Amino acid sequence: MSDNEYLFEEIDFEFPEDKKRSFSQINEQSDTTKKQNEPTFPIQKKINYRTNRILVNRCQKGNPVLLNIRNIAWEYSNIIPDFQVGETSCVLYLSLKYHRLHPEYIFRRIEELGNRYLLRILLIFVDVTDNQLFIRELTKLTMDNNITIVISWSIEESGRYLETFKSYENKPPDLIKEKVDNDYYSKLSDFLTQVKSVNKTDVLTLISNYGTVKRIVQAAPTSIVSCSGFGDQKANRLVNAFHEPFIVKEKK
Amino acid sequence: MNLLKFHKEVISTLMTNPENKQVDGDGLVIMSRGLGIRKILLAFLNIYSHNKNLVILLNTSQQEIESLKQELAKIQKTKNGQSFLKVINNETPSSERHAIYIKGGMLAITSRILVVDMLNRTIPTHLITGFLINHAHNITETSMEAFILRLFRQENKVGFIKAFSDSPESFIYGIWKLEKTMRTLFLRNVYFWPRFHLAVSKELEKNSIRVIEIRVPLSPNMKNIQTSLIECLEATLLDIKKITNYIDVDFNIENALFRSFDKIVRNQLNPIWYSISNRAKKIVGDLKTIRSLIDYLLSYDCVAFYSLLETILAENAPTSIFQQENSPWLLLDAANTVFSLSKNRVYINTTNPRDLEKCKVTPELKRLLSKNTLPILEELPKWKVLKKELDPSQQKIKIEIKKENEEEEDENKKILIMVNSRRTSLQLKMILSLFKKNELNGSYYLMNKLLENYFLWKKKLAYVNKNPNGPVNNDRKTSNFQKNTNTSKPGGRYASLNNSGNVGGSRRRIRRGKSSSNINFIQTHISNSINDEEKIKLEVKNDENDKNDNDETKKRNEDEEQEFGEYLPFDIQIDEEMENDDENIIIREYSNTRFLRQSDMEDDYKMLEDISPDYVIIYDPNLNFIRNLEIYCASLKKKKIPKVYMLIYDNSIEEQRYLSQIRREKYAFERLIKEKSIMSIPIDQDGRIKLQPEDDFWKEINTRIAGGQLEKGYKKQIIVDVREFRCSLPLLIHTKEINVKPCTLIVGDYILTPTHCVERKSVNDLIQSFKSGRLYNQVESMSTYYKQPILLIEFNQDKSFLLQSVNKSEISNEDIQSKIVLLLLAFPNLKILWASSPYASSEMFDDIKKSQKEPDEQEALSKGTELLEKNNQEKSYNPYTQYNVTPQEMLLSIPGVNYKNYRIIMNNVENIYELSQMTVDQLNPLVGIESARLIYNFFNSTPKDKLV
Repeated sequence: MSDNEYLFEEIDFEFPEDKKRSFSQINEQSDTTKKQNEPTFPIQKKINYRTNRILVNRCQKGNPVLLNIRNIAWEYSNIIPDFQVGETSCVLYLSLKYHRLHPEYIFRRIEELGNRYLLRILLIFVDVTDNQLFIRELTKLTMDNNITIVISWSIEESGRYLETFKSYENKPPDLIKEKVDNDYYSKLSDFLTQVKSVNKTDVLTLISNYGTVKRIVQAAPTSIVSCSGFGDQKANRLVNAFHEPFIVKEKK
Repeated sequence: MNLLKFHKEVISTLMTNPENKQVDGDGLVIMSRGLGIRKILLAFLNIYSHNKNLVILLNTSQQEIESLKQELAKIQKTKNGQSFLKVINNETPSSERHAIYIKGGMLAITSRILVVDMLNRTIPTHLITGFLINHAHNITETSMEAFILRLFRQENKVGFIKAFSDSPESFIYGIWKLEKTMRTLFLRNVYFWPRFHLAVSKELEKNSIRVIEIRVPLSPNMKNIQTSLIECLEATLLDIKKITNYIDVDFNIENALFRSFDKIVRNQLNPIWYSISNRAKKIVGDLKTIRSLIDYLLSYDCVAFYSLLETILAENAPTSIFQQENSPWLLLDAANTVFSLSKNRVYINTTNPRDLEKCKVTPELKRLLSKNTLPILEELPKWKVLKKELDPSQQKIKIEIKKENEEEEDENKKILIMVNSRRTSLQLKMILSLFKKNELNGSYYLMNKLLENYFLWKKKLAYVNKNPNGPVNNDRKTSNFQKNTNTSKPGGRYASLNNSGNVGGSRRRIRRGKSSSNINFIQTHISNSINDEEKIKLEVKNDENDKNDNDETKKRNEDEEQEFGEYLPFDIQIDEEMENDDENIIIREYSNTRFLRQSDMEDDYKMLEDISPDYVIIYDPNLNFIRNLEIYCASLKKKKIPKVYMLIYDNSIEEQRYLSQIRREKYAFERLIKEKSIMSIPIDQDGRIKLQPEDDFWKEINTRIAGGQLEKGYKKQIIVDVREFRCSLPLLIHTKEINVKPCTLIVGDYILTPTHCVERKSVNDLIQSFKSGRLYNQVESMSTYYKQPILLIEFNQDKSFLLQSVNKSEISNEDIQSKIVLLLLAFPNLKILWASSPYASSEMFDDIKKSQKEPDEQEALSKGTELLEKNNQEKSYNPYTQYNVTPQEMLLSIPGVNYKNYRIIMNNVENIYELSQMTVDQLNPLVGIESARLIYNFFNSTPKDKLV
């Protein structure tokens, strides 16, 4: 994988001064295809056909992240961002190692992007250890350009983000909305483990000893202490949590 | 107050001396545990509690404050028991606080509130006389107290800062912890008072105590269990090392015994915590479990210990309701030894009828026993020794009492027994009272009763532990059936789980099978036995004398309840009689472990003074208490010194721990003294020297105005929600020369500019609030009210800058990454700040604020109010209402409670207890019938119902 990445960087090295040519024209082959396509798809226009593939800018050729897009098909296309992962969403991809060598690159790409697309992601692959300064700098840059940063820590994770953006394109956000979950035990352990230091073994101890939640709530501290695994402190915390009023009462 | 000579010396080193300008009254005192740091604190509280001072006590828990207050009241002997120590916490209305500050005196304030008040200038910082900081070892660079002292020293160069700590060990962890702490506390002087300090040892040796150490041998079973547990511990640690090859702990038993050992392992793993597998996390958790098992082995009776093991096993069983990774240590041979031996301590299975006939049990228990079960019920060795010890001493007492005038009851010889926990104290009380009544074997009834409860509990556990959802259920039932018919055919489920071919696993399987057959036996037996009730009662009456009879019938009644009301808690029933049973024998818990009753919160020393015992039996060795005892004896002067017995298990973890505790403390002091000798302390560390005037000038330049024009009084400002003062970010923002304005915000946590609003989430918070759906709501309301909603994902500084690693090949709904994607798709305008630490967040905030307008407080406050009114028509929203966090979180995890109705519940229901008592009809008007039913069912359904 590291070999691939190297290749990716080297390609860029061949044309370091060629600033007027778009980055996507680095590869000669892509150059010709672009010329062929130009009349039908003018580059300024958003490619507007519905597709269930991720569209990839040709400049990403050789990027190892492409090998990690496994669950979704992808194809090269003439787009301005690096990836188009939905009708209105796009991704710019930046490896921090590359950014360190060519800090001006991302500025150019963002400028090119203008204000196209609704959801604009800058996917940063963190592959240098001393990353805080870069992230801070990029945060400032993207905040002004209405771009959202997403950080990934591995090539696999980057690939996963791209896949997920595409495959969730039309998914409603129910998964992250409030939901009614009726699994008694998970709710029960959620409920009791909110108290500090109560663990799942304790949940089991409590429910097996008392039978219902109501009885647990009613139990006296001396009774809870006699359950195995409960020390004074834990028992006290538990009872306090049941009897502590919701609203902090103000003394009058 | 009885101050020893060296106490006075400590105090005088910390007092301002008008003649010697070098001594400014600042300093950090580190003392050996139990040498009376509390006395010194009390002395200072006493000195400064006058209205012309404004002295603030920080970092002290509510209970500690209460007990300090009581003692202070006694010392000062003020009228009405009112002391000068005033308490300010979240119950004090903000409007009254200012008046209290102006009045002055000795104040104990919750740190979070003081920070807000200092920032809002409710408290006149320049008038503060000084700070007393308790438990100084807990203070870190990013803690609230550090923030307070920073604010204090900025404005006030005269006031004193005195810090106290009795935990020298805490200062040797990490790199230059002592130096760092001193810098944070703005202190230049540190004073050590170890036990081996000449002044201390001289004083204590004058009137030294004689301790009679009684070495109690462990029973052979206990010894074997202990060795096996240590073996498990060792194996578990090796496992961790294998998985992570990151850990560098010199593993020896001595280290592993201490509570801090888990912490060390956790700290070492922290940087990679998110990237290690669930299995590894589970193993780290196991370390703690095993260590506490070693503790419990010595303090729990055999039945409780075994039932704890059963619970752990049930949690890890394949049929468990928590489907999760299994603990690998359970598969070890050593673990098998632990399980089988601890079962043998409770009962064994025998086919020899002679043994069965010989054994005597209470009739209640007899009903529950299966045919071949022979109860062994091993007592804790210390019980026997305690009985033996008490016997002669009691007789002695009786004789002495007869000799003396019987009218003077105060002359009774008092025996004080010191134990570790409330649980032990209750059990001892019962044993002793039973022992008094029954000349035979005191613990006999107790143990029988315990076993009886155990069998009843086993039955309930079996219900609970059947997973109603999984297909496993049927499997388990059939395998149960197989076991009942005594075919040793390995149940397929277990076999596949233990496919490591471990012998231990299969052996345990058989054992489990047997115990589950017990359960079935009980189930059928109970229904029959109810009819026999009367008969047995008669038998009991014949057997026992009158006094015991009452006792037994009482128990019997409880018993009936237990059977009829199927799910009553098993707990040790204490008679009122036993509770008040302290004519001569007083059983007390150590103050550092005592939590249950607030009135009990008093110092060990104080207790010794109050009781003034003639005999002290140290049931669980405790260094702190022995030191207290020493000081107590030293202050007794000519009075008679109590006789001290100490019970300690021979060759046990308990003994080891006690000895190495002493060793470690000594070592810590030696290292600290060395560290102090080479420490370089900058002259301005005390913060009393004024800043360079140049700095003041630069601060006043406003970069927003062309050419950096001077603008008086201009300062950058961030509005921060008061709840955010729990974390360190506000402090770090303040160090960036940005004003922090605390407000109770409805939308967002931080308001940077009129358009930028930030919701801060730590990684754990993020996972939690994705799960509960809260984040979605929060981002939704942020986007309604602010142009630029921002989500700040803040990683912990010590932990890795990493989310969970992606290891599955498919896109999963559960992954945090997928959830972030969904959130971004739903809110394309949302920006995310990825901060590797709070420091990084504060820097980013600073960046965003550049060339932007300052936020307006009133505007920020008003946003979101209509949102609340819409959802909460019943009671108008009061922005000053504060909610307690834990009950609120618990409430939200109850099915039927959601973000729309939880505030309504909180405003109308007192607490969770009250909620649990409500009926569907009572809940209906608050939350609607559907939620009401869900809430009611949550509290009232039994696991058995879930099976249907």
